[in-house]
Amino acid sequence: MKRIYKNYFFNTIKVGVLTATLGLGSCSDFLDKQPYDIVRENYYTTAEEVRAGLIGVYDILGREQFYGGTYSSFLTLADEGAYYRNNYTAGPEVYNYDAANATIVNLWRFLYQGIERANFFLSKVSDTPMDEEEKTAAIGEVKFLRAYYYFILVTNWGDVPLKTTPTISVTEVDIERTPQREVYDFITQEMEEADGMVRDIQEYGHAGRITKSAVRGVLARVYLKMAGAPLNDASKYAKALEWSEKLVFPTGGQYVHSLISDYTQIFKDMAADEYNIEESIWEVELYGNRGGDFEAGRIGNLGGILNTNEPDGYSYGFIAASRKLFELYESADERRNWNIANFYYQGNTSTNPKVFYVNEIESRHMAKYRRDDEKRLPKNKNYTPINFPLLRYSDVLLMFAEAENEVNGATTRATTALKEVRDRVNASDITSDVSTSVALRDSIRSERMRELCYEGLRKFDLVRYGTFLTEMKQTQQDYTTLAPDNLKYMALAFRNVSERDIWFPIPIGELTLNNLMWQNEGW
Amino acid sequence: MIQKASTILFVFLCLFQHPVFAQSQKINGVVTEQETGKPLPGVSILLKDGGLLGVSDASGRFTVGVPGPSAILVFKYVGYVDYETTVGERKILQVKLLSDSKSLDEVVVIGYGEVQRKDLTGSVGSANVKDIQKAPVGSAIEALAGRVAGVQVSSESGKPGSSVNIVIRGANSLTQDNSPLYVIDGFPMEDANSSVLNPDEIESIEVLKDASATAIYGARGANGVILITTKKGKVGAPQITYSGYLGTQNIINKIDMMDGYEFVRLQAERAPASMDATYYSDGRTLEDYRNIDSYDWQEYIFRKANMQNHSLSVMGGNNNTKYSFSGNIFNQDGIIVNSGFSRKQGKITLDQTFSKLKVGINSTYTSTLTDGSNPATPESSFSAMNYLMFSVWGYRPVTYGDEDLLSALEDDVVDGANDYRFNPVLSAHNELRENYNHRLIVNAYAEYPITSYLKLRMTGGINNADWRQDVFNNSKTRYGYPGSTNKVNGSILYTQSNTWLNENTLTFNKKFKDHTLNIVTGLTFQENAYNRYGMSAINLPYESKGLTGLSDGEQQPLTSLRSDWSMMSYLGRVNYNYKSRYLLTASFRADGSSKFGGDNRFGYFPSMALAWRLIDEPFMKNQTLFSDAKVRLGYGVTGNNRVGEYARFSPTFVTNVGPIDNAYYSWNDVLYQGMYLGIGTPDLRWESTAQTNAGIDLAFFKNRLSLTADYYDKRTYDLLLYAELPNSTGYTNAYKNIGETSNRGVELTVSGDIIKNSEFTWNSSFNIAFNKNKVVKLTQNQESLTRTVAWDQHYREIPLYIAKKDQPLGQMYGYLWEGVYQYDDFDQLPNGTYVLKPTVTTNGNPRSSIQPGDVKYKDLNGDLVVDNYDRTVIGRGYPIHQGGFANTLQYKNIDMHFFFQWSYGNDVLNANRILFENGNMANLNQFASFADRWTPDNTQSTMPRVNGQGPNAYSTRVVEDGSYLRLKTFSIGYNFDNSLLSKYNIKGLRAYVSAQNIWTWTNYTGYDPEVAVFYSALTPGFDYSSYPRPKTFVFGLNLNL
Repeated sequence: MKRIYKNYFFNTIKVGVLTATLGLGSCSDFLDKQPYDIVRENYYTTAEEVRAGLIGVYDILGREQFYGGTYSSFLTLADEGAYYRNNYTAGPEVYNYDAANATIVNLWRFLYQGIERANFFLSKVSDTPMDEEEKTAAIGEVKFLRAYYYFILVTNWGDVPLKTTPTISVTEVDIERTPQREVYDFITQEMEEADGMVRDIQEYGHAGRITKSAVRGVLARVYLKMAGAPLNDASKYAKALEWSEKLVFPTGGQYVHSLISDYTQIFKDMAADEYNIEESIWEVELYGNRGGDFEAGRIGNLGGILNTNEPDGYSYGFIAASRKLFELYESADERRNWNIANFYYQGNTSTNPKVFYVNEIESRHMAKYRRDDEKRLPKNKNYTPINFPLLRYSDVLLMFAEAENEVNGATTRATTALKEVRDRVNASDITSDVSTSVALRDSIRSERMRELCYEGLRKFDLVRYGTFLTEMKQTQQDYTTLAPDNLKYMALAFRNVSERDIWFPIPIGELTLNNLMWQNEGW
Repeated sequence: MIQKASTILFVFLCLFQHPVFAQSQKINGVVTEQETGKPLPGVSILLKDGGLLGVSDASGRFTVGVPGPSAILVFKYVGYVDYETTVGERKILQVKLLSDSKSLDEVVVIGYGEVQRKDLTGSVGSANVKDIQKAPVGSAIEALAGRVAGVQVSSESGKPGSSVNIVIRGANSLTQDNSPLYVIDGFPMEDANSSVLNPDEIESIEVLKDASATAIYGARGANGVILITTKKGKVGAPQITYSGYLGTQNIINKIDMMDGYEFVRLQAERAPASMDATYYSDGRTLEDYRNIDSYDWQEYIFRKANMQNHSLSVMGGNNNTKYSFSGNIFNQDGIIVNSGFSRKQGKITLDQTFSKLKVGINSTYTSTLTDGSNPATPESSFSAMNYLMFSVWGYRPVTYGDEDLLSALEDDVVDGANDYRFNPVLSAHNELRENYNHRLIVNAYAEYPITSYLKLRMTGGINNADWRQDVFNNSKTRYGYPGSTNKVNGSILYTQSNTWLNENTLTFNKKFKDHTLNIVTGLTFQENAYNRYGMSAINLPYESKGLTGLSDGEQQPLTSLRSDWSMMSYLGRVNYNYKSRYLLTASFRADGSSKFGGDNRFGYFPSMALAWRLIDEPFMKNQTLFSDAKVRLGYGVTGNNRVGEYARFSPTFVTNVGPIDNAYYSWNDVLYQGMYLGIGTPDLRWESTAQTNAGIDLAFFKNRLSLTADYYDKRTYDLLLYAELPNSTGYTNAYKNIGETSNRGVELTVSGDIIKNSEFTWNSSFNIAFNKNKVVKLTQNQESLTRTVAWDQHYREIPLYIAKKDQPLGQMYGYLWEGVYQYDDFDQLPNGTYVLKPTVTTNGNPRSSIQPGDVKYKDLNGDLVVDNYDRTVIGRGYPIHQGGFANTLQYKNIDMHFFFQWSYGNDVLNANRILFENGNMANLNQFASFADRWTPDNTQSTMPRVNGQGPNAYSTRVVEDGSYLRLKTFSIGYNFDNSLLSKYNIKGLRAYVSAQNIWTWTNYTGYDPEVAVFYSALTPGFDYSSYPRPKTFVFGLNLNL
């Protein structure tokens, strides 16, 4: 009995030893563990997956680190808004920061994340079996978005690494800054290519997608930028004119854009998740009230009319309007009391009555985006569904006027476009004052501030005009001489700003890890 | 694989045979302790190569029968050296047992075997478990601090049940976990939650330090190995042991806060215009606050906390069967209200011998509950204002109206939009934070001697742990009150980690005349599956339903995660010695891990060590000074595979994990799920550490004094580094095998009997360890690696730690503080304003805004602007040396133990002072030290004025010397006389008083210099809102029946 067991035992041992010696080979299955997340090589097999990739590229736009929050609310403000928080003395909001600043680091980080997603998308999408027309449109959108992210990079940092293929190695990571000129050429080339691929806006009926209208309007913006500082390539005015003309004088069945009659309705619609594609051509879509997704933004919450009553829409009211902007409006101009609140909430809650300002000017809040109009309930304390405008038809009209003026002088076409923008809001007819090219140029510049303030374009405009620092210092003067004592601190940003602030600093991490990187001057 | 193992186990169980004895001669005797002459009850008396014959009684007496005069008796008792004697013709035996505290014959557990201490070739530190058990703490690991040279123990805080960081011989990895491998009863685990193990259960703790000792654990041995053996049944009469204590804990020291007067004076200085409407309303003046009652909110948040521990065990056995049953209940309230830790543990071991076959099982079930929020890890770490201590320190000490600060959720004068202060007392009382952990560890083994020199051992085990984390924020908490973002909210998170292990070893053990050869070969398999599922909801409408009402609220993203890994290893070791005089150990292990692919999957880890016992050489025969002398030399390579399970793959994600990790976007107000990317490193491989160790063991005066000294040189290469990538790649981090670190150090342990006579013994043990670490190489071309600490939004991108090539890890980085600007740094303009002289450097703020009394930093590059280029090393996070000094005294029936632990040369960054010696926020109380700030009347001060902090920065101003010497443990006990106890059939009774963290000598101004908030190898010694360590006093009993 015992004997038998012993044999069985030794046989088992032999089997065990055999297994052990063969182990290296036979046990490789045992050591093979595949991740439960999808590995990249397996993408894209279906149209659904392609759409997920496309959404991923769009996702960047709504990030809190970009248009969803800090970029739109703080980084793009120039002389029209001041930071309204007296114990806050540091940060890019008040131009007192360094290359380690999180807001700047994150903007850089997410823009390149978007570019990487786009690069990956474009490297993988061509073989996916799906509807070719849909695929072409998706590729066009991705190409445009990648170019747009580069546009944000190049306008804020100058020369930046231009990367058009996905990162494959974690060790070969050094990349040089490409001269701005080449980056702009890439942007215009890609965007022009996208124009032939994306769909018309009426096919969607909303302003969340990249459409031919969006591509053309943004192309006009890019060319205007190239015509201004720092490239100062005046030949690009003609290109800006060409692309804006496509929207102002559409041909061949293209969608006809127009201004809607009520200026304020544009922004009410953005809060109410409604669209008017006649005027609002491209918007950053922000969504919901943070019910588990993270797609709501800070528009109307960081800025907006100070209100601590949550059901009505909590707003920190961080941004106060400058006297300069206020005084730029004629009193009948409908835009003034919308862009700049003419009242505040007694006790900071809207259940208490509105109180109207009398002579106080500096304490008025930026009010372009108002939480009253949100439809999604309950309202989240810190996050809103309010969309952010990226391209409006009035901007297109003003760009058209600007380009036309630079190319052909103060023509009727140019002055009419300006008049169209002013007529809508009950501003006076200034056609007779802008008969010269110089006068028209000045008028368009200040009209852009009236019309497009708080839409992420002011600093961009001032830099391309080459007047950034002088305008900022002028605003400082306004505060130090005209503001009441308790609000003089709002001059801080304008006092701190200096020549180096035309550019953002290259983030410190990029500088230390990428050996070919160098810092912008003054940082 | 488990199936195969169990089949074999079954076969073993069938090999059954009964032992038989014959008795012919009767022996009577008494067993006493050699030093004191005290009778020893419960001593096992065995027949050599045979079974148990009997056990000594309460007065040490025994009667046994032996087969004949040639019989050899062995006397065994825990903590004493085995005594062997041939019976001869004697009828009566007087046996004296020698206490084995430093016996050379003591058996030391090493991986896959054990050796006598004299035959050790590697560096293995044994902790004195008896001493450790005298510390009234919840985990043995916590008490390990200072007990073994070269073992650095730090914990983030004094929160009961919080985890402990152990680093052996300095950190190797920069970004990965540096904790050692724990092997508990043979089961290797990387995630050993030390609080799971009751200190009373521990039989021995060995720390394998050098590569020749750890290489047998190959791939996971690089950070050192802690071998823990728990108690098992022993041959002898049943022993019932109870040990328990009751006690209280208190905060060691509070931080002095400003009183009402100083607070009001500060407000008046900050905002004089507002005073008439506030603190000076109704005609009050500053003087009215001079003697007013002030709140110190620390009084309301800290409490005297109870602590109790009860362990009961029954163990015993005969020659064939050994068993033990034990249970433990431990309860520790935290010194912060509504926090604590409790443990319930049950353990059963059974060992059975069937003829030659030995089988056994050891199973432990533990259930723990850790509750209360940790002040250092708030739910939202976005802002420093979310941390509990911010509110505790910052809450106002006085009011000007009839505000009831104690019962109001928020202080009405605080601007909620900019200041997140919240009633800390209400919040701490109402927040529900409960972590439940259940862990089942079962190990079974079968051992079969194939021949007299060849032994097969197969083991199988499981380590199944699950955790449940409950969080509930009701309407009286920081995160759930009506003004909060999420309103009433809660979450539940389940985590499960199941590991199984199978190890098969063949041991050859044979003596050929003077040659002893021991060979172990083995094959092991281990596999782990990890699951995590969680849910959370906000805006819960029915608060009273608690977490059961989770489904009523707004559902938040679910957590669902799954991963697994497996390992397979071949191991082999040869121990050879010639006359126990020349010793050699060589080992080799090949590890395959699922974390690596292709050719990199297997790592090979060899080691070799030599030892020479000079004491046995003829030339040492005629001296009396040395009783032992041995030199050791070893070299080996060990590995580390602690990276994510799938770090070599580049994944695409579609999941929604949080605000950063998701890629949703909406079109036309319809939400769509998008895809985002991660990047992997396909050719990832093992991190390797090569270590050379040279050691010497000496003993003098018949072992009365002993000394062990070791020198080691560790070099870790192919570092698994969670390396930062330039963000232009589209990614922030990826794992890379890059970089190199080195650790070199000296360890010295001296122990001896200072006094030793029959009345009084005094034994001391002293250890000290010096470690010098250095970064040898970083990511390609990188000269330095900086680290931030994300304790506050304004500081999360400011580098605080730097690891520079050729310099130590964990260096603090920032500006050199130079006091404050004084009037002579300025030109005074005709209108009275001060303008900084153009020749004086700025502090990083724009020149125009700098005023007298503002903080001043050193301008290193001479450009008159303090900025990124002026940061330098401002402190060291790791000590120059550290160690412990333990003393055990015995006088008649009284025993006493006291233990000092120290750390010298390390700095602590006291971030608390950044916010509480600042004064820039309205109505925020400050540390009392801020009363001495610079004012026009107090220009001698170096403390910056109100609003004079300059830009957000770290500087030497808040770096403090973290050196300390601490009377860590003190215990005094009385052992009742056996003569008295035997009347009640009690074998032993000891009553004691014991205390922990009794006295600390330090210059550190925070709660505790032993602090490690946001701990990682690169970021040691950071303090913000930490949970203070308690001072503990307990009264306890040890009872043997």
